[in-house]
Amino acid sequence: MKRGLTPFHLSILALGFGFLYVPIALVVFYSFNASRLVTVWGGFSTQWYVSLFANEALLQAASVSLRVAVAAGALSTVLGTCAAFALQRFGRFPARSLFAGLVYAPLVMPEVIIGLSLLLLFVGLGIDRGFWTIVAGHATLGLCFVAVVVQARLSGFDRSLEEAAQDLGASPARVFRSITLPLILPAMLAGFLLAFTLSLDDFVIASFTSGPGSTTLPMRIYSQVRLGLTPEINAVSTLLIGFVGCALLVASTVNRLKAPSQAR
Amino acid sequence: MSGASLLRLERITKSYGGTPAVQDISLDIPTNEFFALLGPSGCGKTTLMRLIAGFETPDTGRILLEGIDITHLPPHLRPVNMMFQSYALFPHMSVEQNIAFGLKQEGCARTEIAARVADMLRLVQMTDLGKRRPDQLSGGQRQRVALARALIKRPKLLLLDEPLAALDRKLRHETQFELIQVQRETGTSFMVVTHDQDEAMVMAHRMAVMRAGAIDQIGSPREVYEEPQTHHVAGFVGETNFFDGRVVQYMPGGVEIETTKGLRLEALCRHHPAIGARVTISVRPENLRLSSPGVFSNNGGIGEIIDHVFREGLSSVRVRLEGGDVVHVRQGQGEGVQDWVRGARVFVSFAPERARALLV
Amino acid sequence: MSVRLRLSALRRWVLAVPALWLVIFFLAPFLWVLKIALSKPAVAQPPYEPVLLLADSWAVMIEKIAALSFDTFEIVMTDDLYFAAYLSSLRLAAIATWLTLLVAFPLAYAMTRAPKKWRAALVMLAIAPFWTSFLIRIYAWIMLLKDEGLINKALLSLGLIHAPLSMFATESAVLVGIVYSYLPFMILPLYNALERQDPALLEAASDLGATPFSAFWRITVPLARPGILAGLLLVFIPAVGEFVIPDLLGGSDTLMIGRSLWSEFFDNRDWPTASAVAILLLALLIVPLMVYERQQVREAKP
Repeated sequence: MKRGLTPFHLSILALGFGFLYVPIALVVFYSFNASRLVTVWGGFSTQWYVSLFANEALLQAASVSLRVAVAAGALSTVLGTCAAFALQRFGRFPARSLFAGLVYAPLVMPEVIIGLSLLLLFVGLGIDRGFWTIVAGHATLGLCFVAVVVQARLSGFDRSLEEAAQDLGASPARVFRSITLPLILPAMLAGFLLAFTLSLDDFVIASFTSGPGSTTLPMRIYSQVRLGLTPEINAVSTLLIGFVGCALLVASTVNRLKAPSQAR
Repeated sequence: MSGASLLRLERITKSYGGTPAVQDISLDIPTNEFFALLGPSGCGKTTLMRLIAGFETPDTGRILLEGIDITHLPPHLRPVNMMFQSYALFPHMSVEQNIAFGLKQEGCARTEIAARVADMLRLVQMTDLGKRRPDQLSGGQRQRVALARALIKRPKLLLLDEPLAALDRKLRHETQFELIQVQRETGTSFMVVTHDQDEAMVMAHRMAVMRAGAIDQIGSPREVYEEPQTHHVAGFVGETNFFDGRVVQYMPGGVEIETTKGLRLEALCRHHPAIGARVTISVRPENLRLSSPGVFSNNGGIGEIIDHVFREGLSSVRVRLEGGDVVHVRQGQGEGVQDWVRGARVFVSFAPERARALLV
Repeated sequence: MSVRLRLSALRRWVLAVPALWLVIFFLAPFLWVLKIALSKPAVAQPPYEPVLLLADSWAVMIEKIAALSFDTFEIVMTDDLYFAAYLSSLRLAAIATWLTLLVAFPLAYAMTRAPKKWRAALVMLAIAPFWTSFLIRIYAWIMLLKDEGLINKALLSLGLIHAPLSMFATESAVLVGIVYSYLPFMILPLYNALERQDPALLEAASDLGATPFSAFWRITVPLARPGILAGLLLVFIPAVGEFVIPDLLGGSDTLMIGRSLWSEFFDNRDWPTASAVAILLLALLIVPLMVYERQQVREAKP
């Protein structure tokens, strides 16, 4: 009946987190393998990173992915924040449940269906697929995630803060700028980060909505993975993991610095 | 103590989705007054306050501040400030920034803002804590910051929504007197919303007792306590004993009633109930007297002591009257208190001029 | 008054922009899929007919709409291959979902037992893999499971086996892939449900004579029910439609509906069939969603 960590619980934690992290660690480890055969250790080397930077196609794909992710992240943040405000603050309005359904549905919709339907629409309307069609697809998915995150923040928002500011002479626009915005900014940032990573990571929707010349990094990785294990993939993966790891670290540090209130 | 009319409410009505929250309320508040709105939760007192602050617009009626109609003025343009029940301190700003917020909106000069913030910090005795964030303050300190923030614009009227509700008992007691002092020093009219009758009694010059969206009675704490005009006021402000019955005959300045348990009781009455009308007599516990049965025999009834406790220098006795009603009697020391024992038979009575017959 | 008016105009925009976006990029495409599912495949560009054109006259349009039919649905629903793919998707997703619960529950439970100051970090650690690329995580398992992969290498060098086990390109590999990829989705709701529980409840149960085991089954698990249900759903729904995992970890005989849709679309270029498959997949997912919705409503009531 004792609370706290028993050796039993500790071993569960070790096993569980081991299961989560060992495969990723191995990918990183074998990226420094000198051997061409991924799973045969041939000594330490950084040659795959060097060859990575000579791989034009991969670099091109990475640049497309990054640009798509930034654009989709930004669009998602703006659209999702608007949607969250509409859902949380506007009370009842016509077709509210339809709107809410549209906001939440992409969260549970299989990606293949979202991708397929977007593709069919673009073809039907005669729109050439490329950079912006991928952005549109990713922004639609990202919108929903941002809306959920921001709405959660808004629902815990003490409305009397805004009333107090108004009471002290702030016009509605200033109330938004000096009270509402600073307080939901962490949620918006988290939402942006989520939408950004989803876009960077997405393979399925991108495959449907991309056109010639707009191949994304996951699409490139996928086609190489299908061909078998190559140390270059390990190197790319390591860089991506490092990138996301840094971003997460920065985000959580910023969050801790900006919101000491969370501590109490 | 009070001067010209500052705030005037004219026949204010507000309902939400058909449910009336405030019904036909008219009220006048002079300058330099400490006014309390007292009532149970859901009586409309908070709605009334939000109407004055401008967060709600009345369905009908007018709100005048110094004779100017502000009924439809948005909150940020009203020279009225409010202290919120939750204090609503901005979590992302320091104490100083919180207090300075109102002046910043006016576009005051930096130096003036700094000077006035310093004044305010002095007023609420928080001079050393200006750089702290709200989450680094205790409950009492937050309350002071909220007060300073609401006062810095020198509002004509300060609204305080349950200002002491978030404090613990001891702190609440001290803070009551601090609020009185701040009100006196600033000369601002204070309007406090509270459900705690003690708070209203201690702090207010005048108070309004509300029930179901309407004001039952307005008066000084003493008037309200000694001359309750309704059953609700008598029961809500202070403790009281009720004797329900019907009017039997008129007496000079009052009535005689026969209670449902068959007692004949006399009390003053400000209303004019018909003979046979249902009324209730309210008698404060300190106005009830105990005596041995047989010594007195009018304006009271016989009962049996249920228990007797001694608290804060007063004897508190509960008596079950014949017929089953339980009354509460409070007696000070040296009022010929006998050591009433449990089970003793006593005669409980009161002087008619110390009791009020009220309409039910 | 003018302030209010301006605000409400602003509000209209705040609502209209995301609403319009979702209608254009989510609702309209979906209706389009429905329309194509009712068309016939054709060797043309686009590869289906009839093709609705905005330039068509009303008469032509009506004629074309009349040509829409449920034939494709009929083909998909009576085709044994699709039926098998549907069944196999449901079966694999269901098994994988329960396996995920089995792995996630003890982990989430142990996390709630950790000292308070650790917990935020543990939660972060549990979600972090979700932020790393999905493909990379699947790639890691290819590395582990292949015949010449790391697990076989390790077992061989330890002398536990003499010939490599064939784990890659099997249904089991797909199951492992799903469990691994969706574990964070299960841990999070479970952790939230378990962390909220008052420790005094278990103490009260043991005070009243319950063994730790029966206290766990009769207090902890029932109270975690909303979390369990949310987790099951969060894993099951995307797992049914999964394409990448069966494609990369599964064998050529691993049937899953997402994969059928993909190959119907990209390999066979049969757009009407792919669309019909998509619609039927969605119909399949609506059932568990509705069950969940009703459960939510019921839990919210008392």
